Amino acid sequence: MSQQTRRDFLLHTLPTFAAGAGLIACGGGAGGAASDPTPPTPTDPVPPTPEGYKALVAIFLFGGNDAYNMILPASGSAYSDYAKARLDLALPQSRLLALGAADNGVPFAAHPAMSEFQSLYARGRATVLANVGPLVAPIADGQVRSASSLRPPRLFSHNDQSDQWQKASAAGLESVGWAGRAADLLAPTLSRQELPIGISYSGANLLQVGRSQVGFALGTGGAVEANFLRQNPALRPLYAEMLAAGQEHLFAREYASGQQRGLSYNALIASALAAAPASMVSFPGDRLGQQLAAVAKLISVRARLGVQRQIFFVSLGGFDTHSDQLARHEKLLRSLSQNLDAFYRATEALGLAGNVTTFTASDFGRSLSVNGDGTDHGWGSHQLIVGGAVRGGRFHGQMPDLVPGGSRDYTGGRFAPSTSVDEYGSTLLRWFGIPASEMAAVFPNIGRFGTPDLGFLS
Amino acid sequence: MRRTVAATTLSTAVASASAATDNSKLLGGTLLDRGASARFLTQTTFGPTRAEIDRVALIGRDLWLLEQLGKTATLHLPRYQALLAQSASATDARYAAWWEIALTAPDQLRQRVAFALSEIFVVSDADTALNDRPMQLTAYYDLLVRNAFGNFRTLLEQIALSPAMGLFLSHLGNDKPDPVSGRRPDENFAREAMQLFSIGLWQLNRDGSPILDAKGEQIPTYDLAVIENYARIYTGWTWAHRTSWGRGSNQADETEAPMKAFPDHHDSDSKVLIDGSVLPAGQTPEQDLKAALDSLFKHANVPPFIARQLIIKLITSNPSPAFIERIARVFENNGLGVRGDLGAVVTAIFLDPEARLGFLSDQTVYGKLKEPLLRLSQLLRAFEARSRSGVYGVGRTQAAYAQAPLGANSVFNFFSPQFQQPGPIKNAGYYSPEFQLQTETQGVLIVDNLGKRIALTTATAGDNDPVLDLGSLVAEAADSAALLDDLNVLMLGGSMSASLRDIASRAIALMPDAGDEASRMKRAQIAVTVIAVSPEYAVQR
Repeated sequence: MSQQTRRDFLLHTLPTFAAGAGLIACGGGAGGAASDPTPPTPTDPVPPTPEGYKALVAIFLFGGNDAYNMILPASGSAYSDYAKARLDLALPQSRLLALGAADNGVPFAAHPAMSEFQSLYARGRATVLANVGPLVAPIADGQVRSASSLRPPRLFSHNDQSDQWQKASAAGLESVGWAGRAADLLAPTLSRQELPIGISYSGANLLQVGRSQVGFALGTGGAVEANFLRQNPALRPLYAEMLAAGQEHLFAREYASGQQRGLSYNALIASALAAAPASMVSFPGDRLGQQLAAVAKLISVRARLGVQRQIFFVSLGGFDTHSDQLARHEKLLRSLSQNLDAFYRATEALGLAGNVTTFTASDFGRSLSVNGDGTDHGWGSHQLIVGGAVRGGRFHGQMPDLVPGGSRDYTGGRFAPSTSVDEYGSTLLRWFGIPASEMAAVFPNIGRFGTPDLGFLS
Repeated sequence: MRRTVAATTLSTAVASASAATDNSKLLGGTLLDRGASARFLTQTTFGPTRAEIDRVALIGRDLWLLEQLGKTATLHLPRYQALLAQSASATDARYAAWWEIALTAPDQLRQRVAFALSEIFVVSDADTALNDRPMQLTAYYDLLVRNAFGNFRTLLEQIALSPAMGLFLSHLGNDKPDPVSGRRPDENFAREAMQLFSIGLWQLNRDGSPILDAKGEQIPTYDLAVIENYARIYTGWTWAHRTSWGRGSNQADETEAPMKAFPDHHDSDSKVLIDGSVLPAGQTPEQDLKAALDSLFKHANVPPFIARQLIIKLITSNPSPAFIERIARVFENNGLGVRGDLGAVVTAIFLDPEARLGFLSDQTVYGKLKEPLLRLSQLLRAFEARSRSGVYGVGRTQAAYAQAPLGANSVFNFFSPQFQQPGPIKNAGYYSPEFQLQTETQGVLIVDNLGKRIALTTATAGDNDPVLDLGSLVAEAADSAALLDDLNVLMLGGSMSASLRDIASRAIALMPDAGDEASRMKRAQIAVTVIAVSPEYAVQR
């Protein structure tokens, strides 16, 4: 696209952020860590201090990840309980990759396909947040089966629960995503940032939709353009005019403004990526690897793009393992582990290990009970967080006893979370630069939970 | 019988539509102008062609629908098998069969409805159990084609027993519970068959609005206990070719035959149905299945739930409650006391006054964003695209169009019926499902690909690449007004705005007419491109 036309698109379409405002103070955010009894002993060098750039990278595990076969008791009676409940799906104890003790003193391990994650954990660069999920309010152990008013609506339904994860609104107080709400707050302060804060390499998602800010989806193959415009440069001003012309129909109008954004942002990114340094890290060739490689590449041109805060959305699908779980899940977790490692190394190579935090989310956890060769929809689940700012090498949150009918079992081994998505998100955003005083604007229900900063980031 | 029922529905619909307006020319009847015919065909087919526009204009919508209801179903499996030899892979053969039929089959109405059904009763080659089983996917698609005008209850049962669905929602090989070990039945099909295939999550009024309780809150249709009971009902089924219980299968042995029951692996204890009635212990797998599907079929939610699903796939993203209620009533009773007559339902949808005239009374929201695949199929049909080899090698459309036949990411389809595009659409409270997969970058990829296909010539195309035939435009291409009049009908149902017309004229003028075929072909190509990439072409009204 010619400079002239590109400027036309930019002039007509790019949002103008309030200039001159300073960046919200960031850093700090380690509140709540004082009670941490086991500080990590990382063997890697300490990551560089923040340079005024921070990124969050959400990896959404679509379908509902079976966290109980991802992070599981390593030995002893806790392993026996697990194996008894898991029947044919129980992973052999001898193949497990030891991590460390959870809050309840039980030693935990990772799935055998996750050696890279084990290494990140051992180096203090990764952690596990145990048993997190949508909650209306904290549910005490004894209340799990009785407190129907405290249960989020439409539990165990894929689309509803993944929406609740992305909105952090089990109480029904929000209709947009929590990363989008954070972008609403931050965007006016980012004077040099033309691109939206939310960038998706996995299509449209609710997480990045705010009230005024909306995420922008890119393709993993680099910036795109329309061949008919490249072949017929004279058509460019006419097409720009067509998209700018007032459309009578609301949908045609929205489609046209989407095309304008699509062309202008892709043109902006194309010119920035042209100067991207060659990647020093090779990623797995799978879908997640393509997405995370694209994230790393975009981060590498952050200065050219003038971006200061970015929230990325990538995904890995196929976690709805009602059947054939052992084979399917192993393949997925191997991809996840290898990609978490490759992406962490890419951020190290960029000198940004401490500025980029990667975290997982999923529709829901799965039932501890088994249906043959698979598992069904659950509620709480464990999540992984990786990055130089992570207080890693230890577990965060409270691990449930993996016993059917245990104190947090709602029914059939569907365990009620002990930590809310709201707390998980607010901890990530506190690090990202949302002041504690603004957190209730992002998570309106946060006041009902005790720990708006879970202390897994420093 | 079929003709009688459809004809009854037709005359009822035409009478009610006629009563709604004086302008009967816009309704069923005959003497339709070609633009109105094209608009009708945009709803009812994979895209208007000149011949079909003329036919609708000549015989009217009623007779055209009757004709279509009576046409022999074009099945995909025979074409898939025939195309295997000419295709790089079995999956490519499946796509080639689908495109050949979408673009050329005479039973367009049936094929278009089957495609809509394939986005409600989803199975997908994105799933690891199905991505190397194109034969099963093709057989499943034929099941939808066969039942497109049949009875919903029959459709539901054939879907439930199809091996493709059994693999996709994992009730193939679903074993009875084992109380000793604690093994439970698989809940996947039990849940999604209710949430997505029949009744949905909330109790509905006949007009599709939610029923509210005394506190003003929506009422769930089922809870986990209901799912657990239906999961037990759907136990004991597996591959028809297996001689013993199990889930494994050698593909060479597989056929499209419905799943077979193994009574020893069926949970024969009593179960509670969604209406509270109790299935006695000791029933056969077949008896339990029949009772379960009957209980869903007779649920009061099915008529409005399926009516809305079909209307938003075929006509408009935001139907009025009255439109949904009219169609729900036809679902409940086709006029002859039959519930679930899909032929009557789709006929009523296409002839409803709102389907016919909604675009006049509401010019700003009525209609829908076209699905990417339909933007492509409409372009290819309008200009009768063909390849040298005769194979419709449109190929893998996932990257450029975010869609492929039976290729959604999950059972939730390519887009959700509840999706609202953030910004003005969501703020105004409207639904816009198709926006979900057409992100801004995808939008660029789509127009990029449409432009490339228009630019393809017999000289530049591969053997299997369909090439648009723009030859019919060359004669009129000297005169941009005549050219745009023609394309306005063929591509936009006569709705081209003055602004688009002005821009298209100036675009055509970029290539002056040199009096030769080459310059005129270029003018035609520019005109088709400019319209195909326009916001107006992206929206079905």
